[in-house]
Amino acid sequence: MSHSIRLPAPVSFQAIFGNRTYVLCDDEGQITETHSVSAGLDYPGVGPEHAFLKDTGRAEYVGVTDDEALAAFHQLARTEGILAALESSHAIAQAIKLARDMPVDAIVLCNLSGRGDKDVHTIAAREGITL
Amino acid sequence: MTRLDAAFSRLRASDRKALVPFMTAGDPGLDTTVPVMHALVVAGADVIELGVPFSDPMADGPVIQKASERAIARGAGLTHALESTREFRRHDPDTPVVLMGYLNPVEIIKNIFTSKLHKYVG
Repeated sequence: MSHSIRLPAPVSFQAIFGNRTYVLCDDEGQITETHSVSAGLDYPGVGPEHAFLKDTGRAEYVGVTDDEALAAFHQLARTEGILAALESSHAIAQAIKLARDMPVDAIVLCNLSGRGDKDVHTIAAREGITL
Repeated sequence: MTRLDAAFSRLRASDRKALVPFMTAGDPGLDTTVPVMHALVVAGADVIELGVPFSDPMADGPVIQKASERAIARGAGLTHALESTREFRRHDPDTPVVLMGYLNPVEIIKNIFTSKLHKYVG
């Protein structure tokens, strides 16, 4: 089962759910099973806006692992008291990575796309915590 | 004239309708695809519609979806369907075979073909 890292990975421009976009697939063109700790990212297709932004070179896409996303979730919770959604935690992880190599007074704009209340039980289960 | 044209001409000449059964390549087994194709012809098929298994056969009903799922589990796909057709053709030069499937496996084959073409054309 491949991790749902899509755009940096070798994806193919195909069709899924009647939509022509980038899709994770195997050598025969079969759409592959995916995995991600976050439900919203656990999907083999890429949204058309992102496919377009990638094609036009307006956006750069990188991969973030489950562990990196979870670490970012915890770091944000501890330092800022903010519970980010697991999907958004992927962006936070990357922002933290990028910020390390930037000047101290640089401003980084990160889209915190959702709340993490919905993910508290998922994270607890994964970390063996009984709530 | 294609085999399909020839078959329909023959049928029209004797005022008959075409019998076109559908089967999924790789179901019930990888080694039954070709024998079943031949058996269909013996049983009266004029054209064979060979289903190419796909991971997400959403345009098909439950029976064909399940057949596709079983075939995929055995590793059948476009390659198996094409190889089966070639093998079938060795003993049956006439019966038209029409492949039925989805865009994705065809796209992949197109990409593979295009990238290999580069190797030969330079």
